[in-house]
This record gives sequence, structure tokens and C-alpha cells, in this order.
Amino acid sequence: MTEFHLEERTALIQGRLKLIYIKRPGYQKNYAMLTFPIGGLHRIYHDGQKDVAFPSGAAHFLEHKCFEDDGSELTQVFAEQGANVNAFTSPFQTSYLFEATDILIPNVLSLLNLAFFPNFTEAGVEAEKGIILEEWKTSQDHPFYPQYHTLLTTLYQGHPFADDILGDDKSIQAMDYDTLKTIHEAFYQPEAATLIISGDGDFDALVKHLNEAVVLPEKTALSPVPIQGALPPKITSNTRTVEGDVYADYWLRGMRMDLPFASSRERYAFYLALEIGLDMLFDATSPWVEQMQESGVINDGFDYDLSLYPEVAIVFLSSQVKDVVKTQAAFQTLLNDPSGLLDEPRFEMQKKANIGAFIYGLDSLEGTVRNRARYLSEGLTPHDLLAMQMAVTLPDVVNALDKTLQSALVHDVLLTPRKKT
Amino acid sequence: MVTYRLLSGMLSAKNQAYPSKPAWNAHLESLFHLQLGTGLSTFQDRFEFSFKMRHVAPDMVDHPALYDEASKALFTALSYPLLDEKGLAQEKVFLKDEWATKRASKGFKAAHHLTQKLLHDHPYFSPQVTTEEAIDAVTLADVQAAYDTLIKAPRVLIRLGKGPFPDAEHFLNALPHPRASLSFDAPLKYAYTPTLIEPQEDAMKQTLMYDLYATHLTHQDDDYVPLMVLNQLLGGDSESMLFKTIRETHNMAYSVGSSLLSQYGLLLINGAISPENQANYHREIKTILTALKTGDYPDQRLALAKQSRIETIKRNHDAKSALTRRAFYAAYMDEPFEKSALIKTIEAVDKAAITRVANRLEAITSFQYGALA
Repeated sequence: MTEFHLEERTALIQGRLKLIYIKRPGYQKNYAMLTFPIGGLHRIYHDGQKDVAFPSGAAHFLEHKCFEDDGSELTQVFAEQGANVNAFTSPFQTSYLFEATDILIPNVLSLLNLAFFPNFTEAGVEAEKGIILEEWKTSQDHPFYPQYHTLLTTLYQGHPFADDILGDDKSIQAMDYDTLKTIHEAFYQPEAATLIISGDGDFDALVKHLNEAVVLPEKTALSPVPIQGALPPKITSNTRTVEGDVYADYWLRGMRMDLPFASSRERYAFYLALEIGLDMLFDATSPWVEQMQESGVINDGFDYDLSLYPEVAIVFLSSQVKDVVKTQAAFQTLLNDPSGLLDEPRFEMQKKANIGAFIYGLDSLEGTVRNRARYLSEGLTPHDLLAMQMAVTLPDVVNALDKTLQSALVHDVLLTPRKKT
Repeated sequence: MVTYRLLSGMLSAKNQAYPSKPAWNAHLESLFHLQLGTGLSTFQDRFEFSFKMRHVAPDMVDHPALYDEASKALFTALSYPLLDEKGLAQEKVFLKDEWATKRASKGFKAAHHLTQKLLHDHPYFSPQVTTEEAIDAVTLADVQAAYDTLIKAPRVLIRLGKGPFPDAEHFLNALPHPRASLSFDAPLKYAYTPTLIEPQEDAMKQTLMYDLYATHLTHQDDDYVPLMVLNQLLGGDSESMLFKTIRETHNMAYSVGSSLLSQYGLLLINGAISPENQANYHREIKTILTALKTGDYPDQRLALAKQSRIETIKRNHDAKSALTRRAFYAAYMDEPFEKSALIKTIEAVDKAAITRVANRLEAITSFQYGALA
């Protein structure tokens, strides 16, 4: 594939581990990312006979412990090889990554070794609890945490999406060595992982070297179980108010969508149409947004976001507000009939903007690799998404907005300054 | 500062050619999401006002006129501002709202309190935020005067990308001639005195820890490069002595590190910890600083710190923002844009140099914010 000056090649290392190489001529550094399909939402594995549940926060805890080598930290190995190594856990994936200029293959081997053969200890797990508890406390001290947490625990009560990726203080304290080892065995299989590398290197030499040098783990009887969790069919109140250490009122709306799709391609076509629709209603080109800002219904920090995955689909709207009732009423009026903002010239402008945004995303190796990893489980590339985006029509946009606005389960959380006692 | 903040918002919101926000943004989006924004910061005792434009390469979208259209958009934003009462009133509301949101952040509140107490007399200090009264006091005449100053201020044009900027000379000539050339005085060496700043309690699970040391060095001193390496060694990344000791050995923090506030001649150590660990945290910092002053640490640590610093410089070759910043410094301070000489200087740093700069460090203040022991 060669489009937008991007050349992508793939290989199956030792017939098991998928490698995607994105060639970027002229770049000095290499960026590599190894991704496993276990995130904060995964809570079950299969032990060969039955499903076994594990606690929230385990994927993130395991990500930390993969950096231990019998009591010492593996980050030093990468630093000695001139690389900067890191990792992150999202709701759906765990990724290990490094960036380096001169030394590629030894760092790739170190990354694979770190993830496939972690050598952590019981003492190391106990020690890590202190660090992760501090990370959890930092997130708890964020002034907007109570608002976001309340929204998700209302819309996703009983579903893993309501839980923090870190878990909570109790689940962190209760984490143990055996749980982490078992989860690792179930989820960290080469066949399920993907290694993405981008830089100005020699793909054939890389594949040859990795096929010769990589050691991969034996196959296991354990297997991952997809994300599960029942969604509450309805909620009892439309608006909740929480207090926090803030100096103004902040409104956050979640619109949970539970739409069935026949295929991932159909889901993403819907997602892309909805994304364009939301841009047309709410971005900086929207006369409605300007009018609402001028009348004080929303402010300059007004924002919107769309997350759509097989298991989770939600639109977020947020703004600092002066009178939440007025804000809710204004959005109700718009969302009842958004047709005034959905015309053909604005639609064509939005498509041009999306092409520009896609091209900007190619400027950094990090952006290129992360975008490539984002839809791995769906088998979609960023180029697929761009082609699908270009195929979207205005009627698709109208339809996606209609379906969303008619079916979404809506909940608002107002964050207000804590009352002085 | 507040006047320029308001001007910054007004210049990026709309202009005489596109007198509404939606119209201006629609124009930019139709140019394949042309990004055009303003920024305001300080450099020494001056404001640095930046217009940043980013557009896709015309050949990527088969739109050869994009260079011209992009430079016209930049020229329009710069030369045809719409400075009216309505726009000013709107920007004042936005600025007050932004201030309300910013000061909700615990880290921001802590940093604000610390800098107000420590740097209020420093000639380079300009508070990031202000009061609602100060915002209300700004008039349209103030904003117009600020614009008149800005448009005739010394300037530098930096462009990063493929091929020549077709009409850079024409673009610059079309702007008013600057009143003065771009030049700066030698950086100030401020005489700090140790300052007691009372801890500030807030409803938090953690304590935000700030320890500041005067370096007695500016970036023009020969020992500035050893100071950079010392910072890397002390708290620059996950291989640093602070990270290894505070996080990995004692499990006291998730984030801990150090940074150089080079404008102010300060080195900052900061971390977020549970309140019961405050005494241990300070004890470990003291031990690390003693090791740096006496050279009592493995040679390998210094080698690793130098290598990490050099790798960061090499990797920045691919980072557009780092390259732009480097170009600014080349223009401001006659620093070489090419970094091979800097890399060689880093390679030459030895333990004696680290000991020398470590012994110059002078504790200025220690400040705690949040949950207190």
C-alpha cells in the first residue's frame, strides 16, 4: 500500500507474531509498539474448562510488572541501548513501546522479552502496590474526577467501563502474584499480539533478523474471554449534581448508544458519519455554538467527544455553564431538529478538514503507529478509515445523528463548587 | 499580560475579512484544516507573541494554491484584526472562565502560590493569571495600543517543511517595519535568598512537593551543559537517581523528577507523595544531593545520563515543535541550530564538572501543597 507517501509491509514472525512495518524515509528515530488485546475492561479468562474472573486494575498492574526482572527494573536495559521505553493500558489494549535512533533490533528483542517473559516476583508485586496506589491517588485528586466517575457509574453500572483502569485502592491492595501470572499466560500470546514499527529501516533485514533471534512462548491452554458486562437498560434520573473543588459549574453529558451492527465495517461507517455530524453541529464553524457562547449558555471551553468500540459507544458533551437548565434546554432544542446546520456546503468543508487532519496525523511516528494500533482488532487501517470517511454522504450523517439522538440513553452530571460548612 | 491575553484571543477568533468565528473557522477548514493560532509567553523580561500556522503540503492534496492561500490567511489574521467592544467583552468572559478552570487544578494552584511567593520581585516574572478586576479594567484602547506595539515589534519568521516558502520576503515586507531589531541582554543572575513558604493545606490524598535550588548559572555559562547533565542524572527520566530511589526503591511516588527553570536560574525537584512519606522523601533527596556533591555514585549512572540526554537531542530531530523552538533560540540568542557541538560538550562532561555544579546548588525554598503531615 502506498498512499500519502506511506509504505506499509507486514510479516508473521516465526509464523506467530504479526509485524507491521511503516516505512518513513528521512526520519532519524524508530518507534516500536507491541500491543496485546487486554485492557481495563477485560475481566475474564478461560482456564481450559471454565471462565475465571479477575479483578479490575489487573491489566494495568500487569503492565507495570512486566518491567521487573527479578527485583530490578528493565528500563535500564533500554536506556543503555539508547532507547526510551514506556507502556500504557487503555480500556481495550495494553501497549509497550520504545523510541530509539541508532539501535533498533536489540531494543525490539528486549521489548519482546519484557512482554513475553516477564520475570516479576511476589516481593515485586507487593512493592508495586505503593507506586500504583500513588498513581491512583493522583487521579483521585483531579478536580473533575467525581463528575466523570459519577457519569460512568450511572450509565455503565455493573459494566467494566464504569471502573477505573487502575482499579481502586482495595483491588490494588488485593492484587497477587498468581493472578498476574495467570492473566499474563492467558492474554499475552504471540498470535494475539501485534508489533508495529515505524522508521527509515530495512524491512527485509528486520524480518530476517527477528525470525532468527526471537524467542516466543509456548502455546497455553488458557485463553482470553472477550469483554462482558450487562448494561443497565435505563437509569432513574437524568441529572445528578456532585460537589468538587471547583470555582464554577461544569456540565457533562453522556449519551450511551446501544446500537446493533452487522459488522465492524458497518459500525465504523456509522461512527465516521456520526463524527462528521457532531463536527457540523459543534465545532468552531458552527453558528449555533457561537450564538450559545455569546448568550452565555456554554463557554469557550465547550467540547464534545465520541468513543465507539464494539463494547462501548458514547458521546460526551461538556462545558462550563452558568445555568444548567438553560443549557439543557438549548441542547434539547438543537438536538430535536439539527437540520439547519446540516447542509451540503458545510458537509463538503468538513470532509476537506478531515483530509487535513489525517495528513497532520502522519507527521509523527508516534501518531502513525498509535493510529495504526487503535483499530487492530477490527482489521481496519487508518487508510481504510479515511476511504470510508470519504464515502460518507450527507444522508448518512443525518441518519447517524437521528439514530443516536433517538436511541441514546442520556445522563447529565453537574459539578458544582463544594459548599462551605 | 492580561491585555495581550485578550488581544491573543481576539486575533485568533475573527478578523475584518471574516467578521465571525464560524466564518473564519469555516475558511480555515476549507483549506484542509489549516491551523492558525496565537500564543503568548515570556522570554526574559519581554512578551513573546507567536502566530503559529500549520498547513498540509500542497502536493499531498493536489492543491498548488494552498501556499498562497495559507500565507494570505496568516496575513489577514495579522494585519486586519477586528478589535471591537463586542469581541473584547466576549474574550473577557472566556478569560475569566479559563481562569476559573485553571485554578481548580491542584498543581496549578500550588505552582501559582509558589511562584507568587518566590518570584514576585524577579524582573522576568509575569503572573500567568490575574484577577477578574484586572480583566474588567482593560479597555478597547488598551487592546488597540497593544496591537500597535505588537505589529511593530521585532519579529522572526520560522518555517519548517518541504520546499521554499514562496513569498516569505513579500510577506515580511508587507508588514509594518519593526521599530527595533531583535536583541536581548545577557540573562540575569538573580540573587535569591532562602525563603520560607508556609505549606498550604487542601483536601487531597497526596502532597505536592516542590524543592527549589538556585543554580547560579545561566545558559550562557560554560557550566550550563554540566548542569543539564546533572538534572538528567538527578531527575530527568526513569533512569534518574530520584526515580530509582523515591519510586523504585522506596515506592513512595508514582511521579517524581527534576527540571531546570533556566530563565530563573532554578532547579526544581517535584513529586506527588502521601503525606506520611514527607520526611522520608526529603531525607532521600538530601542523600542524593550529597552523592552528587561528593561524586559518590557509579560512573555508569553518569554515562547513562549523558547518553539519555544525547538521545533526546537526536530524537528531537523528528519533532517539529522541538525544531521550531530550537530555531527560535538560534534567532534570539545566536545559539547554533546544529546540535553536534552540544552533543560533543555533553560527551565531555565528567564527574568533576557534576560535582562543581552540584556544590553551587543553594536550597532556596521547600513548599508543600495538599494533604499535610
